[in-house]
Amino acid sequence: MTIQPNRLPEGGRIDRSQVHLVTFDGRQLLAHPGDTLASTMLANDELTVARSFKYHRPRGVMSAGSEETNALVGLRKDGRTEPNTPAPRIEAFDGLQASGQNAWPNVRLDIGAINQLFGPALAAGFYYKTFMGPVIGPLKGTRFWMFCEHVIRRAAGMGKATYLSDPDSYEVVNAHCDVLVVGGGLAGLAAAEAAAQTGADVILADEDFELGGSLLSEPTDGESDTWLAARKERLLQSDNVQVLSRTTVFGAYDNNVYGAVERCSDHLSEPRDHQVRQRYWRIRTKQCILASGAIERPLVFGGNDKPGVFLASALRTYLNRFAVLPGREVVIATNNDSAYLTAIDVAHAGARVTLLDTRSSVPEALSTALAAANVELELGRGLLAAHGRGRVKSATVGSIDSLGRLQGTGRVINCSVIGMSGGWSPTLHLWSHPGRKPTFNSSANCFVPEPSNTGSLQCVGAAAGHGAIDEIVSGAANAGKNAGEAARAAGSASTAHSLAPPSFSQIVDWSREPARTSIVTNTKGETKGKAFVDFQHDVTLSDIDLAHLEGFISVEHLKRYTTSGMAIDQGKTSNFNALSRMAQRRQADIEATGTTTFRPPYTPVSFGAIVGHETGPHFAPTRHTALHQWHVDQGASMIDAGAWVRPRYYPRGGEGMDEAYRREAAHVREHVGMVDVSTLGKIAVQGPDAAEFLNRVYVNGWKTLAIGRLRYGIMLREDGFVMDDGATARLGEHDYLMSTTTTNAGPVLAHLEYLLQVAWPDLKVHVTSVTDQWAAIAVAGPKSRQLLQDVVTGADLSATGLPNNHFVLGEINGVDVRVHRMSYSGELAYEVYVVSGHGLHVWQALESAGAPHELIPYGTESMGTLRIEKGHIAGPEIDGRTTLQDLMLEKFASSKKPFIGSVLCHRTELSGPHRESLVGLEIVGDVGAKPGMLLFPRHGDPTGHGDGFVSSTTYAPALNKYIALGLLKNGRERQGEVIRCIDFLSDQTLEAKVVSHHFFDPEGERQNG
Amino acid sequence: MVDVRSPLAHCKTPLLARGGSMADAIELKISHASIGSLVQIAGWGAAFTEAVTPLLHELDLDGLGDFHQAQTSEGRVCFRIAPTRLLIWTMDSQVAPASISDIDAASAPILDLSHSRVRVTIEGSIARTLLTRLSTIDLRLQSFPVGAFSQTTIHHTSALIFHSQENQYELLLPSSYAGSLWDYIGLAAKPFGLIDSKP
Repeated sequence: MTIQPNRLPEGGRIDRSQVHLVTFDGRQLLAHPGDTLASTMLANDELTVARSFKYHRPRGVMSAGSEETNALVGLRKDGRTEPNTPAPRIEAFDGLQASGQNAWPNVRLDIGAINQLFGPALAAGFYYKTFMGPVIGPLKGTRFWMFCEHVIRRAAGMGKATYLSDPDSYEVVNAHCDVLVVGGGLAGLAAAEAAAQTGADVILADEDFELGGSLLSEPTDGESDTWLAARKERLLQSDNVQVLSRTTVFGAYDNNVYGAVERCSDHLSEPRDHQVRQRYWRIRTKQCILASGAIERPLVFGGNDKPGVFLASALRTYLNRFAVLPGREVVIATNNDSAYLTAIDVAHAGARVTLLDTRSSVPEALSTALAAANVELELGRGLLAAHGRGRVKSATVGSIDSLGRLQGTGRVINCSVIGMSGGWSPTLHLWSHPGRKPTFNSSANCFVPEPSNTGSLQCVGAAAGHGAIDEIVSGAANAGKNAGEAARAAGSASTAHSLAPPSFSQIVDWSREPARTSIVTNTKGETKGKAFVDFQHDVTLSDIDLAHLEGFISVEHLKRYTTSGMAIDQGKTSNFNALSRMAQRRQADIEATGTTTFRPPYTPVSFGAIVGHETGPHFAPTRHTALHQWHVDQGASMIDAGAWVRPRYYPRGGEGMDEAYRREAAHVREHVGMVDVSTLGKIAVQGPDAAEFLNRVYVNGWKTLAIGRLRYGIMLREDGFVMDDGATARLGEHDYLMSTTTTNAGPVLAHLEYLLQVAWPDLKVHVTSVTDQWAAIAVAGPKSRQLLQDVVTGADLSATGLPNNHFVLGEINGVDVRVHRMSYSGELAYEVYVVSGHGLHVWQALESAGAPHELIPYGTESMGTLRIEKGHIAGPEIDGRTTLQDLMLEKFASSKKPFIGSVLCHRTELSGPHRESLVGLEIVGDVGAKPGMLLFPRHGDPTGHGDGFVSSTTYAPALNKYIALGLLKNGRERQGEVIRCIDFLSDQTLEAKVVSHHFFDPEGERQNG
Repeated sequence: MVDVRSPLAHCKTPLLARGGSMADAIELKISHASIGSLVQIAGWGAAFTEAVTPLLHELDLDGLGDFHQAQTSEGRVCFRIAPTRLLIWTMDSQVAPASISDIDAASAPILDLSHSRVRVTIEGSIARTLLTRLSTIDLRLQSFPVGAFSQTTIHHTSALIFHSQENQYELLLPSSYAGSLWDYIGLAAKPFGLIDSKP
């Protein structure tokens, strides 16, 4: 454990009464509540925090916010491992574990630093040029890349993600408000308060754990604190304001939808009491005020990435907010006014400060204030290079011309800290996410929102390019008031009081006449050492020059060729300098050079937050029948069937699936079985035109169906392909119950609704899903009639009383049921319909009554076996590509009436020997076929897609052999032919004899008996 | 009469939470109960209005209502879920109002949906907060006052949310999804401090 050599004895917004122990690379560091990991490391003089991406250069903390791209660290361990987190964004807590990344053995001594020797070879375009282009013996192009890939992959990337499951939970919250204010600084607070005073519902989101934004970087106990405390008190006491701290609004989307992530437990070692780690807010607002501030830009000079080089504003933040001064000899280089405040505060803290301003003159107020603080001011000077191994020791400074070129060789001055300010960029990411392009403000030297800045998204404060405090506060308050009134409907009375602008820090305005110079070179236009533009990706000034040289002069090409502005940076600190350099090279101004488009997310978002609770068993909702628990209690092996969870088979003893389904299927053929078919889609079709409607929907006729009868029907899509099939019963004069396949229940209902709403709005028909209203139990087997006659009362179930395709009403154990006589298995079979709340009651009554008849439950696997033996089609055959003729069902189609698909099903292309049609396949040998096997003639080279495919397959206990259904070209004419079934994936070939798909009881004697 | 078995019969009810605080007050209660009777009446054009008006008067419900605000009367709720579709919910009885059968089926067919939905009640001072974890609709009081209803989704599944009284919401969920949604709602409620309760 170390002391905190860089912590000042007093000041800051930290709680010195408490101590946290933070671990970095195994070393324990002291921190206090209110610290970040960055401030902790700086306080403990841990300047080297990370190693850079390509060159493995030592990197330290550069900024104090989410714009940090230097000090990226790994957090936590095991399932909570989190790579690439900017140290300034990490709230220090007791037990925080962090580690350096991209280094071995550690960031202090990194073997990978040898890459610096190969620096020139690792310039932009390195991968393309090296691995895609050259010829080295037999290794060339892609082949060479493949050879090198396994090595490169190990070296590439930053940090390491974990393969372990995340033990924490996350949640998604939907929020609605009148006004969303993004940013809790000077402008955001003013806007939120003004909006709230109109009575609007306001959400104020700020990414920091303390409200205040840049106000927190002001000296403590000053006027800014008074102003801040007053705003916070008002907002926190307002019922119509919700303040979300630790919340980053990361994306702006269409229709005023914003995405935000609240880091609920990131400041704890682990979430407590089932709390979520992070919360994803989907915010729908009427108005949004973007008070996201501005980001200070680095200057570009040799060694600008060395530990000890900070953004000037960050230096002030660490000093005033965290009471940390990382060195006593400070050089500050700037091209604008804002760094003057840093110089003054740092000097007051006891440091020796030299301020270099590239401008030749500044207002007297500034120079006077500097002099009073004993800061040495050098105008017309710039900083050419920082020196020092591991951390800054000195800097080369000197006079520069208007292009940033050093005049002469300059002089070297000792320093332990460098502060730099290359101007400010309004944080316009959210503003531009919906596709807006900012315009260039040459006087403020930055991109700003369009001057119109109207609509439901308003930029205020520094985000609007404002630098003067009174302008910021009054502008934001006005915007807040206007937004609140607009959201609550125009004309609503406002009781807003005026916000008196604070007078602190009035001497500075970053937007006042900044110089354009942000890149300092020698007289040849070269930097002394590597000068970085994008710190995360090690993109240097020379990379920008190279991109220009090679013709990648469009900003979009520049970005992709050099990778500048990608990943965590998202252009925050890199964009402007890259554009400036390209503009220089093109001898154009920045406006003409343009800027890239910002896209979400503003900062990285964890997958967990987006997913919320929709993971594991809740990845998607599941459906259970009314009998589900019974199946589970009986030890059934369950299987997902779409959203449904169904019993696949009921194993006995040590049975596996094969033994179980064969036993169940054989038993049904010999005795009786029952299966839960509640999952079948059920649609109530009601109305005086219901028969006409069915007549148009199905290929067969429906107008003559009598009450008490049911009929099998097939429906086509408009393009003539088979859509679905099932039986429909006529329950009453205007009342039908349509059944669909389990899979197509939803699509069929949507199809019917579409037809009623669009095609035939004149028909008096309503369709309503009643799938969940009814439980359905299929009872099949030669003893099924006997069983039902034992248990059903009030109905004649004899062969004549209930012939095929009829239904009767009765009772089972005091519960009303409807018994349909129909067969899917090919056996004498019935379907018992009962309201789902009584489903279990009836099932159990059948179970009890079935004992003398050797009734067993059977699952979906044996149900499939029975239907394949019978040759009935199902989902694998109705796959959206088959026609009536393909499925040998054309005889069902009426020629006397039109129906959906009746025209297009007669297209020439949909008939003929080239079409694949339904066949039965008797597999030769003792191994079954697999669904999807391709069918080929017995002889010849098996190339291409073959003559068809296996659709359904099973072992048939009734036939004592493996069989399958398939779709085979010209299948009607190929019965008796032996063909091959080939699975190229497992290199398996079987032979099969083509037969009729009616394998079992083709005359239907059993089901009609 | 045989009892109606709820798809949530195996699920513990109610789920109680203290809102994440250490206070003893229960701030959230999630329970499931019998839905009673739920009947759909649908129809076409003016004939529909003519056919259902006598029934609505008899049930002390004032006209067809609109698509946002339910009509309530003596344990009955009427949701107008489409221009010519009503759901008549009788909370405390499995038997629909007898006079429903008097409606001309050719003008307004009746459909019993009592078994197709499950009733889940979320009540307490943080009920609305929990619902913001489940539903995307605007649940602020000015947008979704007492009496409001919405046919929306929860966890990608259709759901009818009814603001039945202050700090109380009724969810009518599809029976087949009820178990999955109950677990999902419980998961969403966990951060609010679920405590053990006797079934």
